[in-house]
Amino acid sequence: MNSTEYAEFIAYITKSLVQYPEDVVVETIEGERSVILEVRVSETDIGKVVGRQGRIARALRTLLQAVTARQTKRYALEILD
Amino acid sequence: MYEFIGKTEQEAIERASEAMELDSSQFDVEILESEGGLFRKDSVRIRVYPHHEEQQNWLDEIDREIDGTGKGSDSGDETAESDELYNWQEIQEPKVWEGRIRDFMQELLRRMGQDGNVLLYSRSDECLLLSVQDSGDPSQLIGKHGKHLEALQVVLNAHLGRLHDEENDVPTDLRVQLDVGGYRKRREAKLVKIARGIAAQVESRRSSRLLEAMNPSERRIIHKSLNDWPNISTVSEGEGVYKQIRIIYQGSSH
Repeated sequence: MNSTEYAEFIAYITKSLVQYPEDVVVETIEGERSVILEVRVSETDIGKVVGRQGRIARALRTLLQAVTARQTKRYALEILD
Repeated sequence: MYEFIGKTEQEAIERASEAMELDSSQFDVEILESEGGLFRKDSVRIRVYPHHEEQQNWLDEIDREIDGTGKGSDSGDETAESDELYNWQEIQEPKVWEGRIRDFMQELLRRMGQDGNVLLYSRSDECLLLSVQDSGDPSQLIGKHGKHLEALQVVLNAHLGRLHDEENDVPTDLRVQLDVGGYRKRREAKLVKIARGIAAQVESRRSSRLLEAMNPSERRIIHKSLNDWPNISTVSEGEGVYKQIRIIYQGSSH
C-alpha cells in the first residue's frame, strides 16, 4: 500500500461514521521521514470522528499504525477543526 | 496500566501515586489529551505505567500462552469457559443492518489488504459478534494485547451508531464485538480460568486481592465468572476506562 491508499482507507472509515460523508476530505502531506494525513469533516461531524474523550480518533490512529507498521516513514493523523 | 484524572497534570499524578502507594519516580506517565479540545477542558487524564508491572502482568502471560497470532483454533475444551458464560448462536439469516455491519467489516478487511470471511453470531446479552476467519494476517488485525482488535471494534460500534441514525430498526443498546481467529474467545476462557483460580486462593486465605487494570469487557467477564461464587464478591476500583477489580472474601460474617 502507498500513502494514497492509506488516505483512502482512513477516508472510507471516516465517511462511515459521519452524517455528511461527502464533506470528508483526507489530504496527505509527505515529509522526508513522515507522512501526515489531515482529516477534514463537516463542522457538525467533528464530534463523531473524535468521539468521547478522543476514543474514536485514537482508534483511527491505531488502525493507521496497524496498516503502516512495515513502512519506513512514520504516519500521523490530524483531525482539523 | 492505570488511568487517573485530575484538574491538572500535577493533581492527576498525585492521585496516581496516592492510589498505587508509589512514589512518582516508580512509574511512567502518559498524558492523554482531550482531542480537539472539545471535551473536559477542565481536567487532565493520564495513563500510568508502574515500573514493577512486568512481574505481575498476567494479561501479558495470557497473550503469550494463547499465541497472539490468532492462528489457533477456537474449538474444543480450550474455550469451554467462554461458551459457558455466554450463549452464542450463529445468525443464518441476518437482518438488513446486520448484513450492512458485516459488509462494512468485510470492506475494512479488503482495504487492509486482507481476505477472510466474516461470520455473525448473536449472544444472549444483546451483543453481536463479528468473527473473522481465515484472514491473511491475523496478527495485523489483532495487534499487541488485542490493541488493533479493540480499535476495529470502536469503529464498528461507531458505524453502528451511524446506521442507527439512518434506520430505526437498529437496537440502541446493542454492542458489537469483534473476534479474529478465535483470539477473543481463547482470551476470555483464560481470564475466567485465572479469575477462578485467584478466587479460590482468596477464599481459602479469607483475604482479598487486587487484579491489574483491565478494560470494560475484560472486567465484565471477571465479574460474570465469579457472580454466583458463594463467599466471593468483586468490585471495580479506580477511574477511567481501565479499572482494577478487587476479589474479596465475604465469608458468612452476619
